[in-house]
Amino acid sequence: MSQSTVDVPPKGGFSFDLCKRNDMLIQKGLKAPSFLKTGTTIVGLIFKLSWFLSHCSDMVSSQLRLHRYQTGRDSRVITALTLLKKHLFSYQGHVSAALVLGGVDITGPHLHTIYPHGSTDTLPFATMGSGSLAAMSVFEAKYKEGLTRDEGIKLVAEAICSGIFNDLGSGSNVDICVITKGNKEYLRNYMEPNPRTYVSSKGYSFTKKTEVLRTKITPLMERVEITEVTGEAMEE
Amino acid sequence: MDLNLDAPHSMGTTIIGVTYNGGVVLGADSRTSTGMYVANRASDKITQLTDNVYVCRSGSAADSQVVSDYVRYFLHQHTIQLGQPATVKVSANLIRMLAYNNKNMLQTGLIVGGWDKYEGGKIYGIPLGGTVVEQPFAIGGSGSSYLYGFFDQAWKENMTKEEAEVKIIYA
Repeated sequence: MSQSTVDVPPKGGFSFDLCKRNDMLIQKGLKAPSFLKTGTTIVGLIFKLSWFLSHCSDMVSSQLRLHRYQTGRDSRVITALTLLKKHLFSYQGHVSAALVLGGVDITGPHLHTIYPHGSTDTLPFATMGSGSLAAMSVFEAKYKEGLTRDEGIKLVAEAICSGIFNDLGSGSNVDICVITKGNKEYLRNYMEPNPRTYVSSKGYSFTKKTEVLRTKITPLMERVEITEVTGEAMEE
Repeated sequence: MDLNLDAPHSMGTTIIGVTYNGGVVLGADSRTSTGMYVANRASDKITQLTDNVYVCRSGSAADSQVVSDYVRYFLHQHTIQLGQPATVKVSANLIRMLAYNNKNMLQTGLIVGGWDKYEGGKIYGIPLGGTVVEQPFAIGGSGSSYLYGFFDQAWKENMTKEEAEVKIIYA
């Protein structure tokens, strides 16, 4: 009797095989190994002609470039949205990426949120991440339509600060990215509300250097065999 | 506070579709929740499939968005091939095929409503497993359990558009 199953070599792509086992283990009380979560607060806001993004992520920029070459037109925000959406949906929520996507294209400014399972929302202001509740509270209280650029920047910085101070997962500094038609401005460390308070003026010198115990050099040329293949040219 | 922000986005929803003597009226609330947190208080759960067919989405936000995107694409092709607007029955059938064949992976209940020249205004309810039921009115979503009683009492055939809208808003 022949075997009905064949050992197929694993193809590329996400393997869901272990997910069931992990679920079962968690149900039995095993604590899952924790990922390094970059607890974050990300925030986006539309003001008049443009929008801000306080934490940029460009997962699909290469795909968008190819699309631009193929269609001969500038990319649109919803193109990026659909690419991200498809990508995240196909991983069924196992890729834990929550994004705020924004941009200005020929149709105007757009702001979208994308959740790990692949659902999207289109909003005038959005927050994501562990500090999203804190930031959203600032937005809900203070957002109004027709903000100017400076008012918008101030509001976004305030929302991020609220995430920094009130959420344990967010901290340090505020980065802001302002995108307008044809122009983007990445304000790295726009605000540093948490500077190091005590810095020694002498500076730091590390006296005890690491000792070198042993040096061993293995030239790889001896391990690798290069064979010249004198064959015929490939023919179609 | 037990907030699980990684919970899949679900639309604990109330969606309603009602036929009246000139067509159909669709209604939906606008809240998307992730566990206890309201992720979007202004979401648009009534999505356009074609000029004359709309669908109300409930259940998992991602699943229902993906299904309606696919069906919109298929209907677009179908309309081009057919040379005339697609019928509501065809839209409902396309959704049903996606919902039934992927029933293990999808978790979304939909109400399709529209108007075509052959049958007039029609509502089709497509709940979780992929059944299609043609109904004079349909309710769906987690909030719909409260409405069965209301509609039992309030529904009547051949309402006018205004009556139908009022009933939906009240519900």
